[in-house]
Amino acid sequence: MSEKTEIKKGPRKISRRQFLRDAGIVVGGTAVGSAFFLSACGEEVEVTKTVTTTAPGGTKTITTTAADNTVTITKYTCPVDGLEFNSLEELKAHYDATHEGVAVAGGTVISLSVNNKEYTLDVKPRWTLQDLLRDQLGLTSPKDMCHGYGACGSCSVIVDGRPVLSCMMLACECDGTVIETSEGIAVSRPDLIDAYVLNHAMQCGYCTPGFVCTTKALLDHNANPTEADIKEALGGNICRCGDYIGHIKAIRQVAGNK
Amino acid sequence: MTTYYGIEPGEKYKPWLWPLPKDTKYIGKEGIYRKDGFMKASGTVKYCRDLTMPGMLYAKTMEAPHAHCKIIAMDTSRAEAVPGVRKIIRYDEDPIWYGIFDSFRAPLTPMALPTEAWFSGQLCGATIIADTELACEEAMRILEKDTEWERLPFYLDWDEAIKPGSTPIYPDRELINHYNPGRSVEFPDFTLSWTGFENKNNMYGEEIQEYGDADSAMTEATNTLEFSFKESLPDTLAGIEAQVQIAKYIDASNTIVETWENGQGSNSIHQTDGISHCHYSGGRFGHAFNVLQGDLLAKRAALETNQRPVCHLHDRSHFYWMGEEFGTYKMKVGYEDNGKITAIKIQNINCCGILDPENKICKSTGCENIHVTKTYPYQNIGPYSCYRHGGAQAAFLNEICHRIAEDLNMDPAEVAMINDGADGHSMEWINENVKKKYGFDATRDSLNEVIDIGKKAIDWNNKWHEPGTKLLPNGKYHGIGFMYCNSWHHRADDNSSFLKYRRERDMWGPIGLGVYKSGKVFVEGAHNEVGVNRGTTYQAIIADEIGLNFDDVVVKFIDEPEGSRSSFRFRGHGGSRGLISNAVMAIRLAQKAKKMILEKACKPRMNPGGYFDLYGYQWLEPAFPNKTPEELDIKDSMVFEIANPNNKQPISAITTYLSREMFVTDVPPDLDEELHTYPMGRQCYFMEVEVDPDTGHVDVIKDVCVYDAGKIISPETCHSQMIGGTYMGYGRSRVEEVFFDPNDGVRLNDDLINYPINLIGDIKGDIDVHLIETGLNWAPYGMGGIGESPTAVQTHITRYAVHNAIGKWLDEGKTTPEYVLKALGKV
Repeated sequence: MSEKTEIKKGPRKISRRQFLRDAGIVVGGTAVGSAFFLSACGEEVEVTKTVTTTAPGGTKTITTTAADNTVTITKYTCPVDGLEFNSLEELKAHYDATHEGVAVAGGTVISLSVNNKEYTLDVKPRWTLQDLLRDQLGLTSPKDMCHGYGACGSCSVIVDGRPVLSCMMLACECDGTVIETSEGIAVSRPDLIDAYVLNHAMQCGYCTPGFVCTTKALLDHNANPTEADIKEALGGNICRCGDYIGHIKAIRQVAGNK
Repeated sequence: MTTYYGIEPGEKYKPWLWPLPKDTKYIGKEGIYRKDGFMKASGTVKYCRDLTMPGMLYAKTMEAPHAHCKIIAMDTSRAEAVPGVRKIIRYDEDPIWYGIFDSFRAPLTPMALPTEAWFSGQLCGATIIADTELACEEAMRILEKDTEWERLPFYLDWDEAIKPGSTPIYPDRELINHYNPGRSVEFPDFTLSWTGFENKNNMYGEEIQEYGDADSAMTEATNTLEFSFKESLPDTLAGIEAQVQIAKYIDASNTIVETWENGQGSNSIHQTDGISHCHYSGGRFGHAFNVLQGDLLAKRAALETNQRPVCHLHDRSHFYWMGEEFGTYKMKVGYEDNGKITAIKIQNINCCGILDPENKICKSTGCENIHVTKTYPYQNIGPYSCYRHGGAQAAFLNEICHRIAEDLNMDPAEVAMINDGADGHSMEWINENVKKKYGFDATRDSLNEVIDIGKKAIDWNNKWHEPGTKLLPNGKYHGIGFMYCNSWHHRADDNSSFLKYRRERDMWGPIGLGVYKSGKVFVEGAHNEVGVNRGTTYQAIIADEIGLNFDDVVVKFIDEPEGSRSSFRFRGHGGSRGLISNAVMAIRLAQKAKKMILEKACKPRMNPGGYFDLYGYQWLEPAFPNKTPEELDIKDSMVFEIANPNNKQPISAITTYLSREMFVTDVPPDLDEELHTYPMGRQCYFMEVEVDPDTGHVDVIKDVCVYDAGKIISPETCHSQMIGGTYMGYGRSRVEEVFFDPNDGVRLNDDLINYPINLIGDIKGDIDVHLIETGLNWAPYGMGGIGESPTAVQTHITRYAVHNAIGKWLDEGKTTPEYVLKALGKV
């Protein structure tokens, strides 16, 4: 009797939790060889055993793929050279012997659209979307007021039509997304920007881009919001200058129900 | 809803009576497109935190983990090994600008890297310089573990700190002999004395101010009252762009440094030669002084980087600086049966260092006899920062009015009007001896007008009731409150002395306005744009004064703050007094430029024919031959003959023949130093609330704000300042407070999740704004400031509304639920 094993791989997944856990140690790539990181290089695969039985007096191949012949094993893929191993210990031994000190260049390659421009970027695991937009793409509109607490709304951008806090979203989650920032809204909806300006919906202006994004997302979903709708939608954006009423007036002007 | 009331132009050429230009198109008009608006809304304007430069390094400084602690030992070896770390500057290295700066903002403001911290979160100990911000943070996490601290005695309660027998916080502290508190009140009969203490029960000094004879007047008063309250949990600046300074030495010997910072005014300490840039600031409200230390730390770090720029970040800086209100307020007042105040005595345990408790009392009442004792305690909460300040001073004023009103069963607004005056004189005296003498409209009475408008708007006469007497069907108590104060800033000599101060110190050259060959006019305006729409208002003034189209005036924002030494630029803070300071110069320069243009229009025009004309220049006849400048005027950027308006030409027809752009310059005028500028403009606020006696929660049903702006240049800007001031003032009155761990002195809510700043839905009722223009301020056109006072005055507005609701005075200034319930005896 012989066995032939066919491997059907599932989609490669590294969970967000794993990235968050690993991100803290992948500083400068020096800790790639850590057990934590390497354990994240494993993926579960389904293996269907094909069993060939040779009957007495000849060769007869019987192939069975019954459920009880389907097992799930874990394969470990080296992040540097792509070789596969059957256990974490084997991978670590290979890594220590072959790649000690090697830094992995990047984490994940993503493709996304930002303000109608397409990008393909190699993003590090711990980058937030805010880091990506500001540090890599040079956009200054997502502001930092609360330093990553997700409390102020000044980093708000629109992702696939929804307003999100870019400091609370990982860059690697943004593969395939369409993103708008206030720089792009200034081109696509100059009337919204003009309404903000003419209604003085700003003082120092630090929070204003975040409000603009939240506002556009609101108007994309509700073209004619009531004051209560506006207050609910903008309830996550802080303005320390306190100039909230200007936003209501600006939105109602754009919506045509001033 | 906003309503406006106009004034007629004045007749005499004095700054407060400079007439409005004829046919103004932009001054006082709505719908002007803000200069900075598109950039701000689109997110393209660069704040300091947005700046990146080639080769820029990053720096962060350690924050003290406890209130009052001292470093015993620090091992930097592990932190230095973090990849990307370039250098760690230690507290025990040979310091360059080390020292304790006795600032009136705080008794112990360190200038560099102190060993000992007096509040938790204070920058001290070590500065890490690294390739990335992340590397700084990684290294700092390690360094914090590798630093040993000695915890020292601390006090969060200053009343406990100054009790006899208290533990000395700074036993080795030297006596502070020199103290220079801010003096902003002028009074005919005033004495001041200062006593510095050498560790007397954790007090470092006491100041006594005497106006008139309060003791005698108190003895003679028909009635006296004593009362007190405390602001034990301060509010803080939180919610602004956190502190950033970038420094780069531009010479190999590290003597000339270029800096970028996000302060409001001139914050770059001039202990080094250099160039300073001050960009758009994300919320400042006057807060400027914490930048001092960060600025020095950035410069110190830059010494290590071989001319690479270093960006020093202090992410949590905005949580460490308190509003001025925290302190203990004790008052005694003497008054007559009609509510007239005859004597005031104030004893203030004053933690902020600059507070003049009597300031708004002097500017808003005619009381002649005031005695103030300010005791300055050591405490370990943190330093004070001016942010839309004046609230504590307004609280003293209004507390007195409301207590008298309660005792005499009077309307507090009536008590305010009976006592209206300034600097020891009643408003009746001011009407006769100031308004009439100096050309103001003596028929205008600012306080009466604002109170009248406000009462009608909130239906005060039908809604006001005796405290604690109106229980609603929903089980809540109805309350209606009132606060008032003088409007500020209002003083011509304030802006004159402000500018003269700097001229005397030889800090700046003249200020200039240029006319391009195209006919456009330009002026270089300082940055430190904090949101008060300076550029647009200067543009409006200059356009109307000359007769230009709006877009033919270019206000070039350059990014050097007033502390630098370049010429041809406006000065003055961009906050509550920027406009009244710079309007003087904007108008004078505009009028000078107009005169020069009209003179050029009557003279032959030179046609250069190229750089060199070997045979002489070719001259063209004047644009307006045989005319004099007095026969011409400018409107819509066209020079025209007054007697024949169809005879007109664009300004460019004159200026295009100039060999180069022309400049007009001026220096700030010397106003009459003997002139006493009594504050005559007023503001008032009314608030209607419902107080839940079971939860202590306060709902605002309606807020009415009435402000005498003197003369409004940009109506929308004024309106937005009122709205913003209400949201912030109401928040500081009702919800904002800092909590400390009593065991450690550590702040427990220094993040924007746990520190509650008002959001858009937090004021459920209407905010009804009314702006009036009496022209009763001492700046051009009679204008005054508005950027600060709406917030400041409303920092205690709910206190008086809640008192009217529940009939009890809160021991604390703030009206958070626990204090309301405590006043009701429920906790």
